Amino acid sequence: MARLIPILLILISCSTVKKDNDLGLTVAQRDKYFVEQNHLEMLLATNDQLFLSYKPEGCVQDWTKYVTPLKDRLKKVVDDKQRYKIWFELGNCYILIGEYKKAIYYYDLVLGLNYKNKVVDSSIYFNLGQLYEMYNRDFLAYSFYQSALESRDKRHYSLLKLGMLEYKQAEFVKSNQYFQQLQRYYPGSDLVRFFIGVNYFHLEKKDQLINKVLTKLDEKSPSRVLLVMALDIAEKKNLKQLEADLRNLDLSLSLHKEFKSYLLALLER
Amino acid sequence: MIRVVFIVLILFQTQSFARDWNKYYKLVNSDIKSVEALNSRDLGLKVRLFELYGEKLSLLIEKERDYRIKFLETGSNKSLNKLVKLQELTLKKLDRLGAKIERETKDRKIVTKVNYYRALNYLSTKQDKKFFFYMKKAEKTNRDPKIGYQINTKLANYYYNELNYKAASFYYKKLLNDEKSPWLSKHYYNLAWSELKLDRYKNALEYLKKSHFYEKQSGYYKIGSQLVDALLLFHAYAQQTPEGLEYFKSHNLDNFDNYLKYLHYVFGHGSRKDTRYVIDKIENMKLTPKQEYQFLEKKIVVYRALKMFTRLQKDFKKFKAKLSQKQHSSVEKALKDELVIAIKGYSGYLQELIRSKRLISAKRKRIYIAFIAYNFNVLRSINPQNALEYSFYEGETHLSIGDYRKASLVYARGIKDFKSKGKKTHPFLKKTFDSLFKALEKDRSKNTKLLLFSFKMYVYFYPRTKKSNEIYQRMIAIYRGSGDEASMLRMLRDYNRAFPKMVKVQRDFYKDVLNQYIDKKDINALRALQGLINKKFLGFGRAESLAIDKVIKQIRFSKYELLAKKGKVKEAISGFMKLYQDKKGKHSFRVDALRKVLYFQNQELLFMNLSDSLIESRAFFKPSDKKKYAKELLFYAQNICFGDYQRSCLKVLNGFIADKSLILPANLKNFHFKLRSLYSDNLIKDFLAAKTIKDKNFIFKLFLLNKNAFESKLASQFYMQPAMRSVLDGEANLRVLNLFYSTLDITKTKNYVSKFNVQGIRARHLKELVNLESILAKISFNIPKAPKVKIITEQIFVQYGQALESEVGKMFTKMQSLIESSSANYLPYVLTKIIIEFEKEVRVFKKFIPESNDPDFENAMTEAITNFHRIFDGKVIELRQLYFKSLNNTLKGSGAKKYNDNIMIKPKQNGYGKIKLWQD
Repeated sequence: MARLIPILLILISCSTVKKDNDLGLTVAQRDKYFVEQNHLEMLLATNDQLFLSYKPEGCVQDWTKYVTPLKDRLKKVVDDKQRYKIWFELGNCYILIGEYKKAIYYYDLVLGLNYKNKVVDSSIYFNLGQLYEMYNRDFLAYSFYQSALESRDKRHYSLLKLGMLEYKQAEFVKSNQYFQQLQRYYPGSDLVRFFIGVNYFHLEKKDQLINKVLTKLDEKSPSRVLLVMALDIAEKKNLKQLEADLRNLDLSLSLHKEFKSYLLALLER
Repeated sequence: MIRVVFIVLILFQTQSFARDWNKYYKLVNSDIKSVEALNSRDLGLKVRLFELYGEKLSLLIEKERDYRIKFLETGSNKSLNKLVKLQELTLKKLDRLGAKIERETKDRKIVTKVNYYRALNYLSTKQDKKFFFYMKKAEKTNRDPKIGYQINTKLANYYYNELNYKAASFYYKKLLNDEKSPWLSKHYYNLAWSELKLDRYKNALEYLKKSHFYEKQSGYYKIGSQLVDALLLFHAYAQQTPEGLEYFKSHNLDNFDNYLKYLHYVFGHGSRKDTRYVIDKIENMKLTPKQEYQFLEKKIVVYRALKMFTRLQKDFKKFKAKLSQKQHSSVEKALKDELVIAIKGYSGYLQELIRSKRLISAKRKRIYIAFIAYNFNVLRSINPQNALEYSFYEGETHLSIGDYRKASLVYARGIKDFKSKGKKTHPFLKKTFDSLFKALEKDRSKNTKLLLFSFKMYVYFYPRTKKSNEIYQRMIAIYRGSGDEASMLRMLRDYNRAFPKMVKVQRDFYKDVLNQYIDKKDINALRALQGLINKKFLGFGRAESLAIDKVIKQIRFSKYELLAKKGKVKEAISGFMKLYQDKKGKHSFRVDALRKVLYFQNQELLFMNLSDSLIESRAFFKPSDKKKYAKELLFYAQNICFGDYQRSCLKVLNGFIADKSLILPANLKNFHFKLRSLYSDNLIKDFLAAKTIKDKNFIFKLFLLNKNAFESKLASQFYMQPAMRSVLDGEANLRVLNLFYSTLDITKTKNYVSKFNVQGIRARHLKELVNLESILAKISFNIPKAPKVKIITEQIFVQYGQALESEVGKMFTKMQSLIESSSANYLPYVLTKIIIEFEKEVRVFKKFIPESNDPDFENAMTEAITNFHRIFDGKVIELRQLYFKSLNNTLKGSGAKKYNDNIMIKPKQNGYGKIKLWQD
């Protein structure tokens, strides 16, 4: 899925010291950008309901091509309402190339304006939460996700992130509370069900796992396959065959891969 | 013209002049009284009385002169009237006495004498007819040659005076007989005149020569200069000019004065053609300046009459060349005046000739005009102080024949010469100007240069007249019309000096020129104009100078503004930049040029260049400029910053913020702070510079992207802020506890905590870890060892049982103490350790199976030990329950649950990874 990188662009980005209006990307920025693009494409490839509305446009498609007119517009616009949107978009774009400080700079400009848009504010809080989560500032990230949730989170992803942060700390009940809230917005999402199912698994709530999750999942979906295997492991049924099947299971989503690893670790124990 | 006045002097009267009048008058009166007192009929006494009255009359006549003078002096004629009355009485007395004597005697001598004196008495009282009557009576009765000579003399003179020259000539001739008479020269002289009057010129000349002959002899009456004069005249009359010249030479009369007079007489009464002889004669003489003057004057009279103009003009030329200015000066004024009058008269005559068109040809007229012009040149030599007057007349000559151009030039030259003398007034100045303007007006050639010169001269001499006011305006209009603005402005300045109240009109002219310059975009001219304004031209002040500055600027700018309008903005910017870079330009101009650069760079969104220009502006602008244009500069800076030219914005604002002349608005301060922090590698410095909580939050957000944030000195700074402290505490707790629960390694955790640069966090966590260590060190339980003997006696079991009871109580108390002393965050681990340690002891304890030979006793022991088993198992269950409970009591995100694997023996992983979902 990776895009073909024109060699020329690489040369240009490597050869010169960046000027004020130079929007060419450095190698590191470009690498980071491709990673982000791949990650996004992978998520979209799941066709999960959770990601159906998540189709970021703009700089995700072509960073320079998108940012250049944005910057040009910024030179011309005169009111805060217009700047608000552009700065926000620039913040988002700079995150994609790993320029987090610049992203914070733009987000801070947006948040400093008198003009307010709760959806944008929510997105900024969410992104900042995610940014600090990347830097293992989970306490701060949790706080930002909470802020995003309190503001107008258009996709309700802050519920997902809060659920995951709770899960990360083995707070499975709390985690499922967030996921179940999220499930109200994405009732058809296999992935949300998977998260709930995993929590049920850790909480050893077999009936709920079966009734509320497995029965709702497509039989061939990786989420269901993994959760069924997890139940089998818990019931210690035909463990050798399970291990072999689990190792042969081909998964594309990192979330599934992580759980697969966990199950294999359990089998080893 | 020349009359010979005969003055007959009575001898006895002349003798009495010397006497004392009063004394003599008294004496005469006394004698009269004495004779009259005698009352005698003696004829001799009567004759004596007649003589005495005659003397008295003479004295009274003599006195009359004095009284008449007195009358003129005082206005009082009382004495004079009295005297005249007395004269009349005396004369009557004489007349009566004379009549008596004549009646009483026939004696010819006495009768002749009485009538002769009676005639003389009437002569002296100017009663000519009575004089003649008695003189004729005396002539008839006289036999005495001496008295006869006297009678002839008186009668000759009488006839001459009565213009009866023939009779006069008769009597004078009678007198010639007496060759010994000292009056002979006089009688010849008088006879010559009588003959002349009878037009017998040659006779007259001969008699005159006789007179001259006798006059030169001793013993004859000396006639003097009259005779010489008469010789000159009579030669002329006799038309014997060359002979006269010969005669004068032979009689030593050949001097300038005589020749000049002779020339006059020859011209007036002789043969005019012969004047040339006299002129030639004089011209061969060496003359003084005075004589030159006289001679020329005479020649003018002669040549003018003879119409020998060319000859005269040549003589003028000679005259002018001959005499230096010094020689001219040496000549007395009267002579000069006479010559001037003569030349003027002659020139006037020429003018009349010129005016009379029919008399002479056009060519001749031109010649005469040239003569006149030259004549005035001669006059100028004679009378330099009146040069203007002569120019005027010369000009009038040209004017009269319609040569207006020449007339104008002549007038103008005269005025110019007059000006060079430094004088301001002259009777002819006004006239000359009037004529000059008249001539200029009629001159079709329209000599503008001359016109301007004339105007200039007029305003020079009459700077503040009504006419001058108009002339100034005309001159200005002419200069303006000819495009000579420099002269026009000079004139405008002069006009203003002369007519300061006309400043409105003057300023209108000025504005006209100004507009012209502006239309022509003539910057040099505008600069010159500004130079004048700076010298208070027309009373303009600094405002006008600044206005011109503005206009110049607009003109210079317009070229590039036009380019910009045509879309060639970059070229326009380049042009303005050149204007700015021209160091010869005025500072204010360069400032404006640079402002234009800024304007167009901003317009074209060339923010990189704009930032460079702004930096340049800050360096170049004076503080006053910066204050004046602060809004502009800040506006451009804002555009750069809002335009997201971050480094440029920062560069510009770094300069601006350090500049006292510029006060940054809040948004620029915000940009400056954020960008400086963004590109800074010294967040501490930025944090210290942060003044608002928003700024500090921004730094904090950047700070938290630092992996080693807690090791940074800045962490302690942030920790002082309450809001940030909670974040730092939260993050620190997560880190420390997660590290601990992921490793269960106190030393590693302690090492990690000790790196924290925040005293509060470090101390708190170390304290907890030390406490944990202390607790862990105390976790050791000792269930009393089972008796080693195989068969347990009752005594041994009772002792063991007592020991168990005692130790278990202590052990449980210790456990409780350890649990209570542990912090909630570390309690799961403490409990883990307690459980492990306790279970280890319990396992050993459970290996004890008491044996006895007594089955009942053995059963009792087994029950007792089993009871302990139940107690210990219950304790383990309690501890485990407490453990699971404690997991929930640790800080959120501590990792206690995450890494929990039943109990804290080995941290475990939970299954799924992360997901990134950047929001847009």
